[in-house]
Amino acid sequence: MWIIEFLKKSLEGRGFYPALMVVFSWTYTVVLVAVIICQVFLYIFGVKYYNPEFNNANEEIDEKKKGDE
Amino acid sequence: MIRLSKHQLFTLMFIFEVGSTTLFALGISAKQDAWIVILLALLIGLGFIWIYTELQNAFPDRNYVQIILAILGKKFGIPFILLNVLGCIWHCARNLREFGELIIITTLPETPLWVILFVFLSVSIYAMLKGVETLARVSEMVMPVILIFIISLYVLVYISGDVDFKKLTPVLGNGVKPVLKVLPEVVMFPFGEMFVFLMYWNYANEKNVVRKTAMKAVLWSGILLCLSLIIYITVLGPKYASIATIPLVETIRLVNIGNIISNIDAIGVIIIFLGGFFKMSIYLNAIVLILTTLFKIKNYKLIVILASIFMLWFSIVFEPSYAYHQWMFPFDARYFAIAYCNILPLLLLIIYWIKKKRVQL
Repeated sequence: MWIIEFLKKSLEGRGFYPALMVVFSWTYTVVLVAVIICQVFLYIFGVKYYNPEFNNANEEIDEKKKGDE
Repeated sequence: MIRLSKHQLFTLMFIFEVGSTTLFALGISAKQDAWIVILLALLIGLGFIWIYTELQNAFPDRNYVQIILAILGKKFGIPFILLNVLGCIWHCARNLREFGELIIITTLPETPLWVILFVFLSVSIYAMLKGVETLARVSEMVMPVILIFIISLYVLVYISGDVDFKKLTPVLGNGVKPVLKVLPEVVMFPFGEMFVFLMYWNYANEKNVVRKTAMKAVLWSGILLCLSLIIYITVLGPKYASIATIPLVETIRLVNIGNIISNIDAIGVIIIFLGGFFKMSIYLNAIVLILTTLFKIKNYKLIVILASIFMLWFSIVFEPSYAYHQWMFPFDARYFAIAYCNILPLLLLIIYWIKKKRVQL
């Protein structure tokens, strides 16, 4: 596979830690992009999300805006 | 309760940004156009500061770990936090190692590396055990010193007649391609590294001025960086600046005013040393803060000491030489650091926006 060949070529001589970081960071980026796609679908289909922390965050922002005014 | 004033935050961020950038001629692969690279990277970097501060403004009293857990939950959040810890360990080890090597190259060639790193880390441990506020107060005292030293050094270089502005021409002589090619790594280092301040901004006295303070710090440090590059290129020329071990020291060595003011490279070493100390301490403290927040550890001091012992060992074994260290720079920025410094915070913010919209449905 071209990805394996590319990784082999670019990671040659770099050591274990940088190789781990390359694989970990880009795999996680792909995972997070997948999460975003799922979230977009959930939003399109109107699935409500409940999280008290988000409400608190919104309240904090509102209070801050009121304070600024 | 830790509280940082906006001035303390500004000085911490400014020194962090200037930090180890004095060691490298950033974007020098674009040759005489490297200063254009810095200015473009500064503009994009300011955009990323907006992203980081937007995340902070969404949860003003929380640090990065708590923000990640609030937005992504434990299943997706913990791997992200671990990735950030690994990233901070990498950057901290590189900073520690490069300043150890710097001291060996410039002033103490016979001293073993571990002795220099041990002394360096001991000072850092002492500062951290006193708390982040102490580090911030010291940064308030150190910033003017760094600024005065850097500006006066450049004035002395100019007076000694080594500056030749013709070396900056032709502007964009090789087209825009070399500038765009080197741009991503300069966006990440040093501007993208500001993500680490997501662990500190929740300590701000005035939460509503965090964005303004961060923007100011990045803007001024970017301008200083651009000025530094113009000096390196006009004094050393693009070819020599790209192969010089430490361009700042090489530039200062050329200062000679009437055979009276000369051999002032020790001042350059002091600037680099001070910047490196703060940068390394900020990263090390961020590692400790991430671990204590994630694992809910109450003994902060114990983690400081354990993390420092680990860093001492890791910074010695993870790189065989300074040549390898320099070879690794564009690689780490391009191949993995850009992911957790720039791309992932942006994706995190997008997820936060969508989830906020879903809450309001």
